[in-house]
Amino acid sequence: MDKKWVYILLSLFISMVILTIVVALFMFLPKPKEESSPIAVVEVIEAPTSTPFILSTFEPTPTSTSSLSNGNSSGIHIDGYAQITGTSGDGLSIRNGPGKSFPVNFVGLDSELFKIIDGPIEEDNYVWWKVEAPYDTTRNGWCVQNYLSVVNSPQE
Amino acid sequence: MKPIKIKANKNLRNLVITWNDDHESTYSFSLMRLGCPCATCRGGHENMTPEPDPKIFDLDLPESELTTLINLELVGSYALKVLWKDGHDYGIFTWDYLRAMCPCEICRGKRKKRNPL
Repeated sequence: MDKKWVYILLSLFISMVILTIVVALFMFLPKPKEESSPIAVVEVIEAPTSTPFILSTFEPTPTSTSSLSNGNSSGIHIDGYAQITGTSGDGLSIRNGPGKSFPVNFVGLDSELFKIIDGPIEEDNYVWWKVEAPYDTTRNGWCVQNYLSVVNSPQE
Repeated sequence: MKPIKIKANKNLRNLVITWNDDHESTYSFSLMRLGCPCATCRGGHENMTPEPDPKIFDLDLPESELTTLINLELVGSYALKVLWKDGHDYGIFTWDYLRAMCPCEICRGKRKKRNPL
């Protein structure tokens, strides 16, 4: 055999060996770890259920339009507590201001307890009180007196 | 862009997402329902776009079963599924879609610049 062919075959063989080694390296070398993406923490905060406070004896009375004072005949007064009642499950609109024209912040549920923090103010033929949830002060707003009933404060 | 914390508050009726760039997005339940990306809510597959319809930012749904969130569920590590009280749970909100739906003034301003129409 011609010496030239020997060199050619030898170089081909060496090339094949090198190629095989390179392919094997790519196949079997450990792949770099992909950056693990942290999964977000999911938290769902439940809405309040009905409050455990017991309704005190209360007779709903028609709203008086002439005797607005801090502490009126309904028994509702600032720093006192009142509970939503009588909405037949529809809830009571808690608004951004004392009047029907103000937007609704949220809808209070029957039996939900609130602290009275301002009022009374007469507007749109209703008496309005500003209420605030004892457990979440961001849950506040103005609502009509008609669907509030006095409850004993938690300290009483 | 990925969230590191997702918090749904049923009292405040909103969903707050903290992103890995420290941005915080607050979505009302109304906006989440309006922005539901499922084919049914978008009016067919031909209307499926990677970004929400800009009209949803000007609308507000009243409180009802449609806008009462029951639960959240992660879909793999790329999206969030919301279960609503009316039983609807087809919407899969990908992270990109949610970020595009961020209603904050900064994000809305960026979107307006990108798409002046």
